[in-house]
Amino acid sequence: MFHYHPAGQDYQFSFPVSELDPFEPANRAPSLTRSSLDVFSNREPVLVSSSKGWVGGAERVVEVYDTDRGKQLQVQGCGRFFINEDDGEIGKLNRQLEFTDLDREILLGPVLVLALATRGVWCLHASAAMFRDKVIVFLGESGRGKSTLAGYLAQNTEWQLVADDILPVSMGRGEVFVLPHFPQLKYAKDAQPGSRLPDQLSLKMVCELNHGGSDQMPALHSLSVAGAVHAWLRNTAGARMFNSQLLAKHLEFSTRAAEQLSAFKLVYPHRENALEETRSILEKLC
Amino acid sequence: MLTLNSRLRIPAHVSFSVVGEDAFLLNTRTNKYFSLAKVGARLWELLNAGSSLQDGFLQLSAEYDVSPARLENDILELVRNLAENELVEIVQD
Repeated sequence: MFHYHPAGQDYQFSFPVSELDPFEPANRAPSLTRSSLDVFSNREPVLVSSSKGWVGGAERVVEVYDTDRGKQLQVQGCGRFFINEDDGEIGKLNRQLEFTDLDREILLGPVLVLALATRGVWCLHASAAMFRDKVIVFLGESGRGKSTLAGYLAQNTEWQLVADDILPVSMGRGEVFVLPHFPQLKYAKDAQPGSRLPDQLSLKMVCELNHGGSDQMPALHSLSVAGAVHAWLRNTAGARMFNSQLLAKHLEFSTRAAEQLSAFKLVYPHRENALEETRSILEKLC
Repeated sequence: MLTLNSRLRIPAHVSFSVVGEDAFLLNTRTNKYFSLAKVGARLWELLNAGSSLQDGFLQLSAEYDVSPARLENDILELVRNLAENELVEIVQD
């Protein structure tokens, strides 16, 4: 077994994850034997959700099942994966061969996202950058410019890239934290944005990106608390896999986060000099 | 027929969270979210606290400057909408 600490949570994988630093847990849980895995897979799972999602370069149906010891995910054409909530093991059932790249993408994608959600860690479709010690999260659908903006900001002195693509967040002591140690699959191990950052960072504000016309200036508009709740809800990864308990917890988290944090709509025109103008606006706000 | 004397129940599959003057409702069967603003959110709070629809009407009449006919119409329209989305159940006697 390989032990890692993604998003500040202890998990064990049956394959190495090069994007994460391994760690040795203080009280190592016994590894599952083949027979215990079989028992796990033979429980009668209860279907809790079925949704289509973009997985491994194709749209696939993902079914989530609750079991006595955790969850299982049936990914169309890819097999069945499991999250053992007793000992934090994440893996694939009835695996015959070595893990393929597709297995790895599923395990570090929807499976890990769902596993974290069961522990109250929610993954956002987001990029994030830090100005001095102030973390700003950029939310938005694909193509809104999240990666471009965060990447640009990180090229500047006093800015640092925190995440690009998926960003886990959590709440503790009434404060929202970002958890940058998460495998960003589009980056190589030595280029992981969060690897040199602390386990958790306080979040300063969130900006939901909106397209602006090429003749527009970048602008920030405050979101109402209700608008912020919507932004948190619609930019959470994997919510279609959640069962009713998780959905309720996620709603509660989203409303509390929206109450506590400043949220903005960032009108962001896709032209090169808009990046510098946006940086200036954000720095003034910090 | 829905009237202010109808009895309502919030089903177990509905979760909600109130933030400021808004309420966010979640139907965990359909995974759909709904938001209610101000008066709608206040009515939801009252219903959730056990008020009847008639009590909710009287309470909102006292809190807002609105004609009784207009308020009744708005409340019944909202409740119909909530019921269509399985966020409340109209209890049949």
